[in-house]
Amino acid sequence: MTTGAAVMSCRDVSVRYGASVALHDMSLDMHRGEMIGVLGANGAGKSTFVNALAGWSRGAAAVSGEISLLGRSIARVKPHVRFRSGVALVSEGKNVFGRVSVSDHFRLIRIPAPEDTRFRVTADEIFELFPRLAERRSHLGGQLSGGERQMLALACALLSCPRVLLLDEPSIGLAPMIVTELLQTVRRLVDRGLPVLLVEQNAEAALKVVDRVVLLETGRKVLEGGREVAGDSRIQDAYLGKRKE
Amino acid sequence: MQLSYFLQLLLNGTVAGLGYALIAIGWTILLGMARLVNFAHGTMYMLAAFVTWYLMRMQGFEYLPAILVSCLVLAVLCIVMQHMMARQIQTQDLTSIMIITLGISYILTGAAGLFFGGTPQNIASPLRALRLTVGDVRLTGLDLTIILVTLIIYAAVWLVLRRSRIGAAMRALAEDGKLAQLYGINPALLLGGIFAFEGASVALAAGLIAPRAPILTTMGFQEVILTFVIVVIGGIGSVPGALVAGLAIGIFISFFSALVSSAFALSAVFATLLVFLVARPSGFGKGI
Amino acid sequence: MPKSLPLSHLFLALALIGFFLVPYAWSDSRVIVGYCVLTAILAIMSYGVDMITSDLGEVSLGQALFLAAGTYGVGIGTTRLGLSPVATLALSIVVALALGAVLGFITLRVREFMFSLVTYCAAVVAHEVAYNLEFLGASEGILGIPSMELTLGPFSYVADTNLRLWPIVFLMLLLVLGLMALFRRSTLGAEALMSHLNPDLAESLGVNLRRTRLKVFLLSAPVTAVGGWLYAYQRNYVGPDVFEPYFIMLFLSAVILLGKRLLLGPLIGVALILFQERFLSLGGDGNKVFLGALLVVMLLALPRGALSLFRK
Repeated sequence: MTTGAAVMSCRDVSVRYGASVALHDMSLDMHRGEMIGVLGANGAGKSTFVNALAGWSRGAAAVSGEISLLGRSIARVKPHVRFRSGVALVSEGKNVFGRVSVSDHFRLIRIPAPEDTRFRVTADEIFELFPRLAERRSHLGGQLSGGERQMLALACALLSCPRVLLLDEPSIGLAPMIVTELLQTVRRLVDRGLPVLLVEQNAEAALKVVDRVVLLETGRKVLEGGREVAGDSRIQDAYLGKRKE
Repeated sequence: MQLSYFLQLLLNGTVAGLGYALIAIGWTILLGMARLVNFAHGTMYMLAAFVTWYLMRMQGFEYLPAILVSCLVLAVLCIVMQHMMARQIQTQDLTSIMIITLGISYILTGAAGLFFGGTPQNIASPLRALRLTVGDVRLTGLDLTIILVTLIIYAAVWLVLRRSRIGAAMRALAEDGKLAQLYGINPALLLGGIFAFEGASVALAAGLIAPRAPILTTMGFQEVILTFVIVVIGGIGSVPGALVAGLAIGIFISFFSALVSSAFALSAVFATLLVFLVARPSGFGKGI
Repeated sequence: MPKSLPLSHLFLALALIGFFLVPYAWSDSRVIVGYCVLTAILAIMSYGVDMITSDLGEVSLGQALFLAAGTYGVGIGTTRLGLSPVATLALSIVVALALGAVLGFITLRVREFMFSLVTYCAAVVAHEVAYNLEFLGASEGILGIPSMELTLGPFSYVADTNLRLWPIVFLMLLLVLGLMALFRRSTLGAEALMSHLNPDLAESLGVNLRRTRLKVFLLSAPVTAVGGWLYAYQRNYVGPDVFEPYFIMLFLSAVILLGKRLLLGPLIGVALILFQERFLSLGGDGNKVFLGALLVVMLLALPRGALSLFRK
């Protein structure tokens, strides 16, 4: 169930890497208690989009367009400040520190003052949600399994009491059972009010938990709608992993 | 050898060694955390010594305030350097950074010569007048201060790095500066802190160690070498390693100078380093 | 390898011929003749640094060791061993190569910044040794080096003035320039460049990065040593002042001033810097500030060299 004004919205966001345009005129609103799935094949621009929302990239991305959080523009704001403002991104690939222990990861996060617009979670709740992390507090990031690392990254994002959670391909390299577990955990958080943007190549898993779907193809939004679009042929192609030539 | 002589050499070596360790701490952190090499480190030591001397001699400052101001001046200087090299730091262009810091070192040498002149000077630390005797061994108040301050600073740095949020943030930054941003870490600010610490710590070291001998605007090169040797032998980025290595080198130089030759003490240290590099290029201590 | 345009060859030849003629055109100005001789000698030394920095992309701060091998080779060779210039040249080169080999092998397995630091420390320590060792003249150095005297049968040529030394200096400069050109066209030169610009590609093609560094380092040793050899005869003096940071600062600045991998780059760079020092001097300390600032500003503002302002 979604309520009221958009927590985060973007208008005509475009991203270029040098001369090539990776994302064209992307617009989207995110509401409380809503999970949006961003689907599309490899290279469709999903990661580019979600990174642009966080103001972050590993390369030299040039982002244009409007991005706002709770009505205030954050397009010029640096990534670490956006994080403090409540935009938490769990990036794809390496998203934890191999040489830093689990408890030190948590130490990195500054817990902000409680506030209505922020998703509230305590350290104890985190350990309830992710019991495996509780057992491995002194382990280094590099000593955790793939699934545990995703949990750690997610746990850290949640600990920061975010206003918006962006998840970039959390299921990569994980066993299906763990993926289900992870996404169901996230769904429970959404039901408590947290807006989540889920970028996924695994359309099947995503469609089970999201409220809305956005489909990207070569950097453009080609489809947007509620779960009824699951029947659309383009989604079907993504579902089955096929690519239109 | 008489026991008292042996103990005196040991004490002198300990004081000198801890002093070297104090000079090296800022550089160790900079290299270990930010993976940056600052060739101006030795010149900064010289500059800090002269700033302290100048404030005391020409402006009538007391010893401690002079050192504190010198720490501030050097911290600011280092932050300026960090901003100058911001682009090179971001792209990890170590070659350019090395040459730039080398150039800055030369500028500072020339500027110090212009401003402070070419004659040797002496910093008159009041702590030197304080003489203590422990058994047959003599030391001054300054020696004692060096021992205490170095141990305190090392303990503090160690605690901060291991137990605090800033320490965890620095280790995260050292590993992956980009990812650190996603955890709310401000790389520029943290880096600024690391640079400022380098400046302040080398200035503190200068304030305590430089009074032991005349200072010249052309000095500083030996300090670079000692610092480098300490960091390599102690293990790059290892705080306890630097302390132990500094101590070892100080004691080595003390005995070598007394028993063999003082003119070639540094060469002997360097020769040891070369042997070390061949045998164990990664140092003793583990990185943080 | 890119083909050079004949136009640039022509320019090169004209520039060099012009440079050769300058001391003769102004032969009664000791200042100008001395400036030309010193420019050429220091340029020769900086080509050693050029190889390592422009091509290999690393920073060797130990060129002073090779410079010292050159000067002290002459100092010891003439005053203690009575050797001829050719023999002292051989001695200098052998000593330089030996020092390079020792340092090179020790740093074979270390990372780039360690290489720079070790070479830096080696230079400072060598300074201490030269400053204190009686055999090397200690702090006063070795005075009374005889002028270069070349004999062939009954003929002898004594280079007792800058002008008489000039043809020899210029010849050496030409040889060094030829070596640089050959180096850049050679396999080693290509390997060095690849290690610098694309180390992963280089390794995948079988280039051993560390060995390449060693080879270039060893090649640079005799080049700088030759400069030192000439320097000793030019000054008739050898001393530990060759270890002062001035030289490495001069070499680095000259190498990056115009732009990388330009054949005449270091020569013109040295000429410009020496010009400031000799004719627009700001005093000893002032010149240090200027030279340091030049290096810093160039790297921060114009990392591709001054000529990048005209290229696009």
